[in-house]
Amino acid sequence: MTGMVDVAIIGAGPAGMAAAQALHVHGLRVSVLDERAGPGGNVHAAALDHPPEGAALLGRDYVRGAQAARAFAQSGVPVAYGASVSRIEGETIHYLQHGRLRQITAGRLMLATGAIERPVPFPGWHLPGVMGAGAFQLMLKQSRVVPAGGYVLCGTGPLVLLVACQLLALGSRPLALLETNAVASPVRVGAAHLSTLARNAGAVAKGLSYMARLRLAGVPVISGVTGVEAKGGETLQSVHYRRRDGATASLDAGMLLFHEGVIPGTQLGLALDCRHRWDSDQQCLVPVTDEWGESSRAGTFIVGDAAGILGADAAPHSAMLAAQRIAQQLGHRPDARAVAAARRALEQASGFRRFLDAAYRPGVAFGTPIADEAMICRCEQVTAATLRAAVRDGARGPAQAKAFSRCGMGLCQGRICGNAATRLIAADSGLDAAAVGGHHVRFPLKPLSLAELADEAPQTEQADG
Amino acid sequence: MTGPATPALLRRAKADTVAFMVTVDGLPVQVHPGDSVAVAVLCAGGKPYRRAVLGDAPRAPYCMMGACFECLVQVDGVPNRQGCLVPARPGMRIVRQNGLNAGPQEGPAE
Amino acid sequence: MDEAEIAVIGGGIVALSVAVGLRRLGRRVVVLDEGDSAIRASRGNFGLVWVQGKGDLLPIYTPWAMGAVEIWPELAEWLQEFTGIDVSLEQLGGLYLCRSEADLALRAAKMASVAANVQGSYRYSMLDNKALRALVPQVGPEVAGGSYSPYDGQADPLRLFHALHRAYRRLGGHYLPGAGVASIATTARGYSLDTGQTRIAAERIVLAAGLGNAALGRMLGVEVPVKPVRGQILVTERVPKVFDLVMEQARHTPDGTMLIGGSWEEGAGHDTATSHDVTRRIASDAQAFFPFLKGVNILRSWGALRIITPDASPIYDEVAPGAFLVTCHSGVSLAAVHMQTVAGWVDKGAIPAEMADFGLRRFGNHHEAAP
Ligand SMILES: Cc1cc2nc3c(=O)[nH]c(=O)nc-3n(C[C@H](O)[C@H](O)[C@H](O)COP(=O)(O)OP(=O)(O)OC[C@H]3O[C@@H](n4cnc5c(N)ncnc54)[C@H](O)[C@@H]3O)c2cc1C
Ligand code: FES
Repeated sequence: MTGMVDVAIIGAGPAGMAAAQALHVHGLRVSVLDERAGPGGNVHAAALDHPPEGAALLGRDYVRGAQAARAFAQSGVPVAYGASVSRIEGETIHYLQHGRLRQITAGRLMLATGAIERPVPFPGWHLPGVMGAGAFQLMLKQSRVVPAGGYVLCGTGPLVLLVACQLLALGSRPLALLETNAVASPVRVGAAHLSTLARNAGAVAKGLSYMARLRLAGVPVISGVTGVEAKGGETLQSVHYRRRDGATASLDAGMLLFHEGVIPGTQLGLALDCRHRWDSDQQCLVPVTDEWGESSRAGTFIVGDAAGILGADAAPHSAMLAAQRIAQQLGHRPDARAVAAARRALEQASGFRRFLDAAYRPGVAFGTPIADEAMICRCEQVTAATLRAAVRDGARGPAQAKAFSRCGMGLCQGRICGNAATRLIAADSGLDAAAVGGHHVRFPLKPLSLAELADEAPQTEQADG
Repeated sequence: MTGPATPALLRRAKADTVAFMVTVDGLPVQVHPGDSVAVAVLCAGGKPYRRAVLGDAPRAPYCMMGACFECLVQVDGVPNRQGCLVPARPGMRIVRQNGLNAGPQEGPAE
Repeated sequence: MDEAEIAVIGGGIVALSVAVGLRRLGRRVVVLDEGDSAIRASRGNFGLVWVQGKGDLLPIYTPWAMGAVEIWPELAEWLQEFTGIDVSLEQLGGLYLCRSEADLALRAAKMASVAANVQGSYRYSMLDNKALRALVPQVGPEVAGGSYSPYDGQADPLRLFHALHRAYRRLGGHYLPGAGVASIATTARGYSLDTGQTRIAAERIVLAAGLGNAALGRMLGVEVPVKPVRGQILVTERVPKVFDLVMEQARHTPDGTMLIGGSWEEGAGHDTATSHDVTRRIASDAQAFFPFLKGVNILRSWGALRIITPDASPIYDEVAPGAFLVTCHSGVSLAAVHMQTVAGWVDKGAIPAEMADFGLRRFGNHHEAAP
């Protein structure tokens, strides 16, 4: 990997891989950076560590993803793995790899950093044993591990069902699936989206088959759950909730895998001051881009789920659009057929996404106000009550609230608390979340040691591209 | 701080690769290709994954995708590594972080 | 239209110190502040409660700063009692470190001129590396030396900022965020302030908007000579506390992190960004000052804009009848006198002798109000 390229792509998931290959085909100099140790991104992490035969266990999507990762690994695109972007200044990207701060310069930048699972603070969510169901699925894919003791799945959306089925396939059965869906009947929502559903029959069939498998395995499915709380000491001991009829109930469990959808990972875009808007339907920040994915920062493109949630299958298509646009900007002839195909695919994916968003509304995240004792900022251990006090003392946005309460001042720099903080400040101050806005992100994007930052002889070439 | 042993959160359901060894707090732990350092520690059990600097609170990985920083561990002498992003390698020395980063003497080798 | 006796423009430490002081004097006050993303030195400063070096260009600043830190403990105590917020004041002495012999020589001259301002009643000492390391053993062997003075200390600037806002609210003060003042008109009874959304009438106004004072001054036909000087600061992960003394280059915070500062950048305009080159230089200096920090993680860096006048000293001036200009670089160090003496001046309208020479006059005639 050389020190100067046409395009630097951050993220080697489905979007980053597709963009890199498309740009590579145009003969452009590309370089990909990813914090992970291999290609595939979050959806297909560690795909290359397992024999292809084993992948079948995890479903057909995973097999396809693993194949894409393999193809990418063989494509000859220069990639730096284990490379964590520390700072972007002008056209220079400073990244930390193997304990050294290194630099590359790129005329164009593509952020393909994907989504994060929506962080949903509820009382006890910081206890060991509580984690994202999507997070758990990552471990399951990488390591074929299952919870050692009794566990509960909780949340809404197809991913929870899929994880449940993957766990069943590995011989592990959850104590229950608690559905927090704010919409009582996804089926009824489906009626309003019939043509979309017909066009996505495969996906619909998948969803229905998950439900059938759960029923067959005798997993209790409890819907209309609210008021989720995790209790325990050194680890999680029990999960408490309110049933639809208002009665409270609890389950003893060592793990709680919670999921209420995903939201774009906006950390890099925010750090670069790219313009973002508040998506009031999904209640999250989304970068503002043109139809090619170019952000308000000229030359910086945002693609895949980082640009708005459309899922892994759609990610290569938004990446393809950005790649063709960049090719054009750099004097190459864009591939018109690829552009048309990508637009069609994206349109279909957004239709289906609209159905999913309508059918699976996060009941805990969008429902009742965040409980006072929930720890909004896990790093600095700031509870919702403390953040509320900051709002009472006059804070009207994340920056002032951070100064008053330390919310967002910890190691994760607001990645986990940012979304909930914006929603809470909006709710408590009576302002629109759009007016409250997102948190400010500072460099370095991830902690680095003083010695690493002070490095007297920074390298522009890296050894193991 | 000592107390009753914390049970491991994870167990391996299936192994389709050849195992190797790492150490967690000096004790041998069997891991497999694809495992992150975080998975190694979660399979090891015995103690909470880590203790937060603030108030000694027990914490464990939450996001597994590099966002939450709940998975910080010391790997081969380097503190504060995100265990969920670092793949386990044969012979790796993983040490749990309990409270403050023990600092200077355990900083990265010069 | 809202109405108050006194409208304080600005929402930083300086504005709130004066506003709290005025509320305590029983005045009906409104504070007009900008929105969440406003440039606020109060959110980005280093938290020194400091006398060292103050007054080298304006002699009266030395006794003013000495008086300010002397009454700071009362402020801390009152805030703790009234708001429940411990602003973590520590006044155990402070150090300024010099990496090179040349820096040390410059420092010695500066300290001598400051001491001369108060006829030698200012205590300080210049230290070589050995003396420095006797005081703080963690200092590196290559550091040339430094200056020490017992008056200096630190407070947590964010807790102070929060405590002032809370105190003001508890005193029944009226706070309007998202209400940047866009124009000022004089009326028969004082002033009318227009924020674009609302209008506020007040008999008196206080211009305490940091760098915003330049624009506010222009609305009154006064040139306020403040310019931004950027400082970049690094903050570390939590580390065990190793020294009690405060240094201009590093300090432990009550939350356990360390602040490492800071650059002095004059040409950056209103840009609060940080840069690789500067943060790297700060890290490199910090390594030389404190070798033990090498393996410690930097969590964040930020840039904040100092509010600097030509002689780096405060300005207190009634720039038009009933319009009081209050601006300074060291809003933390001076918080207690701002709440007492400066608020008292705005309340009574008569300037105390100790403040009289902080006016715009000292910069020359063209700064005078042009009605
Ligand atoms: C890097 C750095 C380090 C520092 N270290 C120290 C230190 O160690 N010790 C110390 O004592 N001091 C220190 N300072 C200085 C200290 O931070 C400032 O003196 C203090 O914050 C100034 O407060 P302020 O209220 O004047 O300005 P600010 O905090 O900048 O606040 C200005 C306010 O005015 C508002 N405003 C602006 N225009 C308008 C308008 N038209 N209408 C309404 N509102 C408006 C803004 O929104 C803002 O809220 C440091 C400063 C910097 C930059
Ligand atoms: S588990 Fe969240 S950063 Fe590693």
